Amino acid sequence: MPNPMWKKTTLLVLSLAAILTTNGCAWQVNAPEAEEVEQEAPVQRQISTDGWDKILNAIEKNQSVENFGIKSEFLSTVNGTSHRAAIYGHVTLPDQAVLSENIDGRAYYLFQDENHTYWREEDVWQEKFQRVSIPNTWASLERMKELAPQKLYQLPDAILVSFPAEVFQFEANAVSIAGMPAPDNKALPARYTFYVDKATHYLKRIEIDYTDHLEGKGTVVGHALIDYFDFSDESSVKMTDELQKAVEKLKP
Amino acid sequence: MKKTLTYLLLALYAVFLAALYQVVAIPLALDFSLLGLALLFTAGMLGYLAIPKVNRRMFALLSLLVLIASYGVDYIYSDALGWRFLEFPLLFAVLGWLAYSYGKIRFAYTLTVVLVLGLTQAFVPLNDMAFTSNLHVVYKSDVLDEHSLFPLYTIAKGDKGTLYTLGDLREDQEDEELGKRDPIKDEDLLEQNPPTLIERRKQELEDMYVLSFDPENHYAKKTVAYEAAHSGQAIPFDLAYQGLPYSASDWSADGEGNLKQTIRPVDDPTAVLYNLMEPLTLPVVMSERTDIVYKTSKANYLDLLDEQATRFDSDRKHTPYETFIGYGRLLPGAGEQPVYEANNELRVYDAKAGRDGQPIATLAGTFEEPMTPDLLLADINGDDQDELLLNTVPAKILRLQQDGTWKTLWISGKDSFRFEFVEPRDGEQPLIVANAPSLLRDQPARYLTGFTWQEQGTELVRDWRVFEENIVHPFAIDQDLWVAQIYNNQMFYVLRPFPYPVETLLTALYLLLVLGGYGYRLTQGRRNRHA
Repeated sequence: MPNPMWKKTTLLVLSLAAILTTNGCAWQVNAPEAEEVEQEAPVQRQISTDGWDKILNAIEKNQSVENFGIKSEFLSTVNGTSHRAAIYGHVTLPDQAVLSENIDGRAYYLFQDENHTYWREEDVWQEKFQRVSIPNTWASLERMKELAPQKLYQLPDAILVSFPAEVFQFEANAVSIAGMPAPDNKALPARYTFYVDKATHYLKRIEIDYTDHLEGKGTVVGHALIDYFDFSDESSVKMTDELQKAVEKLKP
Repeated sequence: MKKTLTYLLLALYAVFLAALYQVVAIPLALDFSLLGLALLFTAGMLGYLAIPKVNRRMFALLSLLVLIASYGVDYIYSDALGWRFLEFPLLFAVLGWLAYSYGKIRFAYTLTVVLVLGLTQAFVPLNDMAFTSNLHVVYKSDVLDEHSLFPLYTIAKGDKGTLYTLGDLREDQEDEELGKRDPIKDEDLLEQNPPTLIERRKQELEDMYVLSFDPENHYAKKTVAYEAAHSGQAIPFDLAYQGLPYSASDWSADGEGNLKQTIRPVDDPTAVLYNLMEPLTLPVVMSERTDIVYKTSKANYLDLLDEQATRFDSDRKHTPYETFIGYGRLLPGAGEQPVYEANNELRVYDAKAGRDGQPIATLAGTFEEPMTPDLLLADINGDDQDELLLNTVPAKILRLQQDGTWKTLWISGKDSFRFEFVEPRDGEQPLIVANAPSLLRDQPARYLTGFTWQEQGTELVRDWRVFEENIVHPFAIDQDLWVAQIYNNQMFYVLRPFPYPVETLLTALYLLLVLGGYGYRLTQGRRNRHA
């Protein structure tokens, strides 16, 4: 009389093994296709009628902001490889700033208060005796007022940090927006997205996507993201401890 | 005699289990997530139950010992040789004592396990097991640059299959001994003359040797002589523009006549800082900078080649508005059509008329899915007609129709999926090599995977997969001979696909062992009852 428990286990194991071996031969793993995966719904955008004025008003309002934080990042993709340049820090207009900068993996640091300019490069601090000119980012945006209003879309509101913002988007040739020619008189199709704070009506973010053609390399894709934050009455341009120590060493 | 057999079997089992764990078990979990773990648990339990009851505890502990020892040995191998003499006895002592006191496993068994795994590690490192189960490493370079400018340097194939890339030939220390490096220490220079220190550091970062690897000479690493590059040994142009869009390349000879390449920013970092604060002009300014870098690098390259310049220029058919991508047999019986790329648009021209006529087909990109040169024109089903494999997000396969429209055959369900290259095979479907993410895990990590295209059902069917992350820029230099790099690691591999399905063999062996175990238990059970 065979043990029934034994029979059961053997049967189970044999059938499992049979499934595994037969399936193992015919086991076919496919790369997942889009139709098998749940897709995100595309962003809905509507034509905006009053958005252009809202953008211009926001730019106007930002003109009075003297102390602010800025994070500006530019990503360029050439032949499948991305290269990043970015700055992060605080500015007090007209020309005080504390900014860290990274270009393609190399780090730089600028500190410039009323009296001194310090610059770090390859991990070495130096005092510079010529001031670094800091562009007035608000003044540079005033060109928007001279442009003919573009066909504008409004996107769903976005949350920047914790503040809701209205989002407007338009497409244009970056050459005409910049008001300067590109090399070889090329056109640079671009898409601009402006984020205007819903409560304060300040301009808080600009996003730019564009495509370029580089001879011999094909399409180059550019993406810029500029965030403005920490709008305040007081300057945030202050020395860090590291800089303080470095400055003491620099003194003769 | 029986004793020797026991030790031999134990040694074989140790290697088998360590390999099974690396090649089958870990990948299963990486690919199928919790489902994979459940499958592993089931398979493990089946194996456990296949062992006769009296031996179960001993066998399980022995298996555990093998797995622990395999990682211990792996750690030890990452240390210097001197340390290993200390660490191996220590590992043996600790594991041996644990195994003996807890499982009554003889010290001799532990010694066998540690020794055989140590020996295996010398040939196939544990970490590389999943990798080498599908690919044979023909050549593995050293780390070519300890202080590299970019996460990766381009590897380019030149004449006669020679590979070219950039790197430091000597270590800094050797340079000091040779008197090539300024003997003043960094710290002293920082106090005395900071600008000189900055210049020195910049130079160390930006100056590189052009290295060549000759397949005829088993890829021996060599510098290229400046004179050779100047008078004929054409180093590939691909090396020239890797500093895009901020740094241009230039070439010079060092004191000994070796070819040096310098990749240096075209303008001051404060200029870029300035640009980043003016959003409206940013695209145009960056377009200009990219253009300057490319043109400067190209001019310097032509200077280096000297009289070869004319040959180089006539090889190319680019204009400021269109870049030649390659030839594609995109329509049946219509010859090889030249394919160009304009700003965010692919253009296919007639094989005969070329660019004298209008494009026979175009394909425009969008801002979300731009039409970059990150694409392949390749025959995926062996019908002698090319398809278009696009590395957009998500990746796609398209086929050109007679009327000039494109038919989408396949769209990836995973955003991080990308096609790398396609290799035609004699009498077999072409091999499509891609970097594909895990099937179930929600992670962008990609693994090098070989697929074949199934026309019926339009599916990419997996042939094999290598469970090593960050294998990037693989390309074929010859039939069944590939080059690949590891991201953020200045080295490269020359690989050959391995013809044996190690994964399947190991799995089959495991199943056989389990079945054998049940068979043994069954016969033993009968014998016991009849006795």
